[in-house]
Amino acid sequence: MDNNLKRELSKIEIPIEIHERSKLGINKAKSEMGGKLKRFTKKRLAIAVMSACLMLPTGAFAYQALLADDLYGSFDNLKKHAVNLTMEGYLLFNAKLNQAKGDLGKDEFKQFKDLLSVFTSAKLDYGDKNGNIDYSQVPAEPFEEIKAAMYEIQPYFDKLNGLPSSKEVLTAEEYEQYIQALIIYETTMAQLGVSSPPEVTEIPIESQEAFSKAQEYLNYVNEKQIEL
Amino acid sequence: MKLERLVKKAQKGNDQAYLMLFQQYETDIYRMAYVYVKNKDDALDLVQEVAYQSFKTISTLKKPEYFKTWLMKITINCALNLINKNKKVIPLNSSFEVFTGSEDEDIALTLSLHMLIDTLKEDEKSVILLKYYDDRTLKEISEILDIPLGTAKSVLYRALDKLRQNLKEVGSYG
Repeated sequence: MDNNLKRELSKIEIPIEIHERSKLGINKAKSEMGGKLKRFTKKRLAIAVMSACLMLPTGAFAYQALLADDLYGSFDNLKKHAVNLTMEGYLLFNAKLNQAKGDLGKDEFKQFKDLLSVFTSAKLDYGDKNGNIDYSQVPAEPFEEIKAAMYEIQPYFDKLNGLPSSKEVLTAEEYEQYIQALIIYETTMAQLGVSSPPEVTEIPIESQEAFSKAQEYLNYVNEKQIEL
Repeated sequence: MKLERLVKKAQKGNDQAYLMLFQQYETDIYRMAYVYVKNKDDALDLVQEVAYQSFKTISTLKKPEYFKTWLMKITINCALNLINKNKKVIPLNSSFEVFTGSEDEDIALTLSLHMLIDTLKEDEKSVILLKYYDDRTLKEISEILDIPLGTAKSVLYRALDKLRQNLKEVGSYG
């Protein structure tokens, strides 16, 4: 009996649709858990997305650390430019850089690096101690150059964060607005001299509305990316 | 990937991880289900139902190493629920598609699966399946089925007796 049972049961043929049925069951459960799941993913993505968005605003951490060795030579040298930079941040973004090497093709990576160097030099020229740039103080010509690089680089950040490219998710017009929102965000932070996103109440009243709008728009884009 | 990691991922809501995990057991689940419900369609429904219920409640699973045990328990419960539901419906005829056209197979062996499916009651099937298909000890069986150890034992012996009895009858025909 005992030796036979397994052999016996193995005679029960397995229908090919069995995988499909497992999937159906799991998908149904997932769809019903929607709220719970979404919250979880949202939370996690909020972190990822924040690092994507804030890589622009808190650029000192991002670009300068990322390309530290290539562009500045060493951590110490880099630190002169961005006092808030920590060793941890440096290592973290070096890791990001390595990840970028893996995730992006050779040509893509080269382009990514070139774009980054536009930022890093902009940060050095115009950034505050946190590496944030007050774009309202940047002369027109370099501003256009930085903005153009921003257009190109955001999809790379999305990719590194495992999100669909914002450039593809959004229409051309929306994307333009998205970049504008990022610029407003960073400008506000630079004007306040803070290194993390401020509360609305900390912001001068005349800038509050623009900042809230920018923030809302960034959230909207994030939602859109998550949903895909 | 290791089972425990997959369970943890699934508990965080990762359906891909859970699918990977579940698919390792779906044939076992299907075969166990088949023994209870005796037909392909219901057995497939059960696989889907088990997938649904298990993913929905996986966050309640405390120890990932008991995943399979837990899954078997869900399978048995789902099967029993379905049978109870179907009892209210009188079947026109029961079909054994799987066994048709298998005349060249050893008749005694084929019969013993038939026997298992047809002669045993649900609780006896559960014990026999867990004991001989899933290699569980009696103690584990009593835990999975939520019955006292003594009951598990007596159900097992009763089931084995029935099967032996049937085997004898088959033998006397030959």
